[in-house]
Amino acid sequence: MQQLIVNSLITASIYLIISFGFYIHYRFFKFFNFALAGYLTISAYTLYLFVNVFELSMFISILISIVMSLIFILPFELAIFKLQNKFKLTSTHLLVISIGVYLVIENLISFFFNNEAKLIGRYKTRFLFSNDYFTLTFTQGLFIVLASLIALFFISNNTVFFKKLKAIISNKELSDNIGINRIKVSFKVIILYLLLFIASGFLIGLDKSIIPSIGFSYLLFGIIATIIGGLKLGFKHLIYGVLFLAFVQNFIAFYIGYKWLNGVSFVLLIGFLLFRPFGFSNYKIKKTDI
Amino acid sequence: MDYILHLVILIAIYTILSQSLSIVAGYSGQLSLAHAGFYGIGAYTTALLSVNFGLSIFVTLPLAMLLSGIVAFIVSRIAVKTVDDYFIIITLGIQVVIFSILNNWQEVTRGPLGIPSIPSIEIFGFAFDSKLSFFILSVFIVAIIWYLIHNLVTSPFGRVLRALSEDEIFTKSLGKNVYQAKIISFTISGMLASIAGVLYAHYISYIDPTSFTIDESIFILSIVIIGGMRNLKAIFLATVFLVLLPEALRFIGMPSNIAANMRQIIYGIALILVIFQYGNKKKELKINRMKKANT
Repeated sequence: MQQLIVNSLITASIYLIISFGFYIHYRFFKFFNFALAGYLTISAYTLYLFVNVFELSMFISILISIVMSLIFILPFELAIFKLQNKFKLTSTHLLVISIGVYLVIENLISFFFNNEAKLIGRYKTRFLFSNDYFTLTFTQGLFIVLASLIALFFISNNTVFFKKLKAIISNKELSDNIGINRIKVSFKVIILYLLLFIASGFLIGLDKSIIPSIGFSYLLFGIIATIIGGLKLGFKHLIYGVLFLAFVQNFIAFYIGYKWLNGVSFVLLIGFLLFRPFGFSNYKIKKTDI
Repeated sequence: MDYILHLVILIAIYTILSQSLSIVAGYSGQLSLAHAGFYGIGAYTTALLSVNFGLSIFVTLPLAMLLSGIVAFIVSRIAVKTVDDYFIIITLGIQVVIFSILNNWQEVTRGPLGIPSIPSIEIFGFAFDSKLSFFILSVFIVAIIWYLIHNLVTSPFGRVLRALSEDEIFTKSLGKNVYQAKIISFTISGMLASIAGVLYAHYISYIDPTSFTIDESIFILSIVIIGGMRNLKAIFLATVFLVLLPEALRFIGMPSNIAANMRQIIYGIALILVIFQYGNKKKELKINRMKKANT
């Protein structure tokens, strides 16, 4: 049971970062962006490149990988943002474009790195806790701490930037009228959620072996957790969604079997959309908001 | 010659899949990522019934369509009340659930091992076991389905679908039952996709869950989008292009391990360009309307 709780916390910490990043993106730009899965994979493989291929130290590799990932990813994201503003495409069209971008990214990665599973780093596993009841590696402990800090940062943040972000999410037109520079805020928002996805890519890469399609499943779980948490303005409910999904998944994996994980996660999503469509937050989005 | 017939049969199967998806994605404006799931339901239903019970196509085909139709009906009842983006996520979820069942319910579907030795289609004692005979059969079935879909989309019901894809609220205000139209279109689409599954299973004579993944759904959706969403002829041409693309890449000497990636990259770029083109056309239309209003 203790190992189940620990595993759930580890899973939840990864989903939390993805969920926060997805939530900010979706509330701000109002469409499901599957290209985010590609960005996650880019960051994991960039870290792999610097750690395993160039054999740099982990700290230096992370710093360089953040910069390089942003350099690779920003053109895609700014192009989608420009398309949205210039041509006023609907959310469905942007979703299709994001699928196209994801296909390109996944297959470029597969082309350069092939489809074999890769492990980042060759470090010996260091345990933070290891007893009869549960084990927790040093890296996994770092995940939980990092996710907790990110959660705390988002929940307690009362900076001008976050106030502007919340204002634009609530009402775009009114925020324009009161003089908020939407383009400037948009750019900062893009950097913010990209950094979150880059961080989650690193964590996933350090915890598990990576393949070109790894980003897609994690993004989907992040989306499920966000929908279960609900789309109310604020971040607290996302934590409930993430914890709920992580616990259910680990429970299923432990007692029923890992192979049913994907199916059960989506059945959970469908159940929520049927019986509690606004998630734990119980916040109804007006049709005009969507 | 056999290889060319093989390619034409694949084109026929994917034509059925893409044109059936166009009823939902093109005419009623609901992008669905569950189509490979219905394709898989059709294939597995016919495979299990013909291998385990020796049932003929006259029984397995209607049963496959019925099962697909029931699943599509249930899915659409859940999904149609949601807005656009959530609809896609639900259909994606259904696709994952169907794949999960096909891959993990090993007692029935044999999981990743798949179902081998699926017999060929036999009609009144004639077995369609040669490529030529199967080619004739598949072209005949495509022709029937094309005719049915054409009649459906040009009927009053088809006009309702077109209207709701343009403006759902306005269509509702005209007294049309929008939810019912969406459910019917989704169910018909699922049933037609299962026909493609039946054909595929009996043609290849071996199926496994990897033929019915989310990648397949994305591929079918790509065909519909590249084909222009609502034009059955253009969708057929898009099917020909995308099914023959791997052969074209092999013809220019690309190694097969690279060709697979290149194919997917081309699909992705084609999707982006088609939507970009749509955005350009929308802008041109707006400029033209403004010019007309000023004159």
